[in-house]
Amino acid sequence: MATTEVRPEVAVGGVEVRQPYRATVLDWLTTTDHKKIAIMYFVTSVVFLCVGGTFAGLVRTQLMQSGERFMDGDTYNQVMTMHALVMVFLFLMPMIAAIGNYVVPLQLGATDMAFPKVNALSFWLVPLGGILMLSGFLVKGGAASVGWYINPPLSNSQFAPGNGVNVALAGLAILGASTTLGSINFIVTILKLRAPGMTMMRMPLFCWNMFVTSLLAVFSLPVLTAGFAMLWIDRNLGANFFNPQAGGDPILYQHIFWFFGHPEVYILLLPIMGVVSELIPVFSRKPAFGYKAFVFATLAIGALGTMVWAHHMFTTGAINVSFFAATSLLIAVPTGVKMFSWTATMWRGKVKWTTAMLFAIGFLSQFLIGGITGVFLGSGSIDFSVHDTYYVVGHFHYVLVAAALFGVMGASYYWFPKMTGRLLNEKVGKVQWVIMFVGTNMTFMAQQILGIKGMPRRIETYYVPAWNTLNLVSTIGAYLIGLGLLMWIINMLVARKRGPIAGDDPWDANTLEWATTSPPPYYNFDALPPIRSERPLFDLKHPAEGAEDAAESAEREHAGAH
Amino acid sequence: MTTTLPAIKDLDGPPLGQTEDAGGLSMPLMGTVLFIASEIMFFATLLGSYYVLRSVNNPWPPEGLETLDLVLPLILTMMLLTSSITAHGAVWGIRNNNRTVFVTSLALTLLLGAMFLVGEIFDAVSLDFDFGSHGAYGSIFFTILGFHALHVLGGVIFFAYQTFAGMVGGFSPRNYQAVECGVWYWHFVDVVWIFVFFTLYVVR
Repeated sequence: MATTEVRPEVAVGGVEVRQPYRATVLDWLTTTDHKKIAIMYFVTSVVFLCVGGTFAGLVRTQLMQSGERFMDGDTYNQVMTMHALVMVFLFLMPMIAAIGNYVVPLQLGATDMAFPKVNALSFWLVPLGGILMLSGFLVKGGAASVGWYINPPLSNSQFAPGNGVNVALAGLAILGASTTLGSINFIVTILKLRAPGMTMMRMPLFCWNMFVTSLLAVFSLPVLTAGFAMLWIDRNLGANFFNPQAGGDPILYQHIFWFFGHPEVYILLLPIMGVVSELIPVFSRKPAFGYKAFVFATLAIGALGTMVWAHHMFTTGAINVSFFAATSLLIAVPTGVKMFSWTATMWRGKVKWTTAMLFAIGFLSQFLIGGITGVFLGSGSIDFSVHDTYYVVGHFHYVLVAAALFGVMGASYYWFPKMTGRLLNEKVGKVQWVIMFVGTNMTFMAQQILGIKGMPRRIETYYVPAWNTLNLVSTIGAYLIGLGLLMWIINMLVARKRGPIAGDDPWDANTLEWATTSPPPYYNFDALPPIRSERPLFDLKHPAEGAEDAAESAEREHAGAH
Repeated sequence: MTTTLPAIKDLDGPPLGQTEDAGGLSMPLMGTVLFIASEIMFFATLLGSYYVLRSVNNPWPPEGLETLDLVLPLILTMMLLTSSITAHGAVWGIRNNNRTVFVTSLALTLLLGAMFLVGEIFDAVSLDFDFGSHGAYGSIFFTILGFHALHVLGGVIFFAYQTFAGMVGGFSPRNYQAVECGVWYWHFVDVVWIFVFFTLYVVR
């Protein structure tokens, strides 16, 4: 039995309590409740996913066959640039904030985030920054069309005179502020608001990953903001930071951008790794293998992630290739520890093939491909020959779409019942998984092969008939991903009202968010179970085994003392 | 699918409203420290850029700008450092329930900050180069100076509000964390100024 009474609006056949429409709107506009803010983050993020996904579809349609000119070059460049910026800053970042906001306080046994009002501010900055960024399509000269790095001199006032780049820079600065504030909130919440008994080393792995991600964001986002400020001043106040003719240094911009840009990859990926580390133990019916090693691997990835940025700049010739190649390759070690932990958790487990678990396994297999191609790119010598080709595009899409997006899907199938009280349709989910698994591999494997064949990235069209087949495969794959996402959105819209009632703990899970009702009341918990391990709910359901474990560890400690 | 959990209320779980970690920095101060950390990264980028641009340009500073007048910047530095002490006085005042000391120190801090800003604008206007002139030198010089001035302005506005709130009875010995956060931020603005001063005026 749950600790909290089942809420009437969730109960089937119960009396539905409804408040006036106006009150509901006002409630959502002014809320500081982390769960409501998380849902608003989620909806915003999905809306921007549709925008960015449409852009991706347009890009792939243009590249379907040689000589296709469905958009002119400038439009193509705008769509391609905004696809990247929207997906990174308006889909994945808010999506991570959404999952983190919903799950972290619940997993810690807290009532809310540390600074609820700041939390609301961080959220409202996202639509503001997003609309500002996308308003580039309405201004003279169109949206930013300079690629998502916004590299000068291409992005200076001479070569990109329109206002598109200016609004993009302003929007990105606002989004950066939002993420910085959100990350500060996460760090303080995790350090200060854990329930009694929840030591750092009993924290769920998702919280650990959010913690390291937030540290990275506080560390790297202000650097980007400073770089964007300098570029904005260059463009609008006639400064010469990045103008080589007047003593400026364009390489400096690349250093600043990638000093943020590489940690950003881990900012996006670590929370997803955290999600997978929640899903795999629950659906393998085993504790996470090597909890401590996993935590230290997370810290190591965070630390190493800050000193590899220049591997994006190997071909500039202005950096020490061997040093940055070495640090880049070194990251494969802690990442390997994580892969090992996940597979070892599944090993001899009683795997339950739920949709969430399938997405977690999809993450594993595709992250492996993305990671290994990354190792190739990290060793400077190979990078020199495939730099700026579709091999790179395929590589990071394997990491950010095939892996991160799959993690997001897994998270949504896993936590949607907690957020709404209703389960998503598993059959639709499994069909969606097959479609998306086929789709992502078609799209990005084709792109990697194209890259090796020499197809450069960021081209509006091409005149090489030999690339036709693979590009067609890639485009069809992209449409399949779109179809899968559509199924996902429809599944959520239907399940929100008509899905089967989930109950408190539909997955027989281990962490505290399942110890309250679905959805939880605004104060989260009526009572907390004792927290004596990183799996308080498992201990609760299996008191005997828990006691045995405790006795065993006490014995071990006792033995160790002698 | 639903698994029934044992009734959690009946177990000796941890009490609600308490946390595992009760010691150390309070939440607002920890938030302030993290905010300051992000600001440090911001200024580190600007100052780092200064040294990068310095290394790719020769001569640096450009011809015609070999000397800068140091008198006014030095006076400004002294003013800002003094304001750190008065800011601390404000915290001491409210902590010891001495409203006169609290409000006076805060007002003094605010005044010194405002005078610093006026002096800096005066200094900047008197320089014979700007954003675009003299290659990247003017760009980075005024960008660093300008962003620091904006941070001082932010502190001044914050203290102006708090001085007003203090005058009408706001804050008490048990409720002065907002003042303390502001003062920590103000210390950061001062320390950064020392780096800015040495970079822009001394090392060059």
